[in-house]
Amino acid sequence: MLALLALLVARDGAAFAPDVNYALHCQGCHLADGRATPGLVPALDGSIGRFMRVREGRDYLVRLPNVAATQLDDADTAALLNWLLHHFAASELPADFQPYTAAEIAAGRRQPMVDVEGARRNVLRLLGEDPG
Amino acid sequence: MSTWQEPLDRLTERVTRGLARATSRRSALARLGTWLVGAAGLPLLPVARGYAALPDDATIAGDAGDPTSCDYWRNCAIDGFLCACCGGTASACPPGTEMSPITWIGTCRNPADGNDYVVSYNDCCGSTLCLRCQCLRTEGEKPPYVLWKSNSLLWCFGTKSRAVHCSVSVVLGIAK
Repeated sequence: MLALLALLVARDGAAFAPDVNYALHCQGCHLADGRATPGLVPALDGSIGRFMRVREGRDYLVRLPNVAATQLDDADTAALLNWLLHHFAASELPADFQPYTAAEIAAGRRQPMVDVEGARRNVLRLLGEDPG
Repeated sequence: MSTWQEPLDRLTERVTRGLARATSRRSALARLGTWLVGAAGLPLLPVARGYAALPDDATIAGDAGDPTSCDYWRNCAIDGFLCACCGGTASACPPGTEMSPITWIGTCRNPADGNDYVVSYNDCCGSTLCLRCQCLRTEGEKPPYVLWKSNSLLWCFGTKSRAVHCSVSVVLGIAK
């Protein structure tokens, strides 16, 4: 009985690996290969890693409504973001990139992002890009 | 469109909670079996194994049932008209329609092997509503709490036409 209970807790706590969580929580819009759907969904593939070059970009990723409000706990969300960054944009990550931690997710998702477009433009500006 | 409602969030709910374990239609014995299957997979979790892509979803062991039935296991969270009744198949759009790349994704348990599979519900777009085999399965869904996971939306995004014709249930792999 104890063993069963432990198993139950384990499954409830971390049900799936990050790539499965990507399929279940992200892939519907971001697609299996992370490519953009023009006008609707921005690219992850070959794109998302550069956000890690500035503090604001790192915060932006956590506070995005579709990330912050996802039905995953802090640890699973951190694991998902870390997997995603390495899977889609490993070559763009800065040399000193530090993986997200559960504590960072916990702090970020408690700061609602009201102006998503504005926050994105700000990050792109900081990266030296045309915010459009 | 009001006829396209509901089933979404039930998937995520089931996934994050260890899935169908909690549904009342399953016996305690079945639940026990599920846990045992899960136990076998647990040691693998820390390794990023994920869902191994299946080359052809028609080759799933023990796949059985009637793809034109709402009760077909893959249709556990579908909201729409089954393409299998509309000139297509459970995983292929009818001729003349375009499969939407943007989809609603969840898991369904295959009763034949006890595995939970990641299933993508793609709308086939570019023609008027098929109106045959309308299914709406929403067990466990809580749309008032998780609005953005509602499967009642039309999912013809990224397609030339926003007109939805029918929906397919494409198996992407095993959820583990």
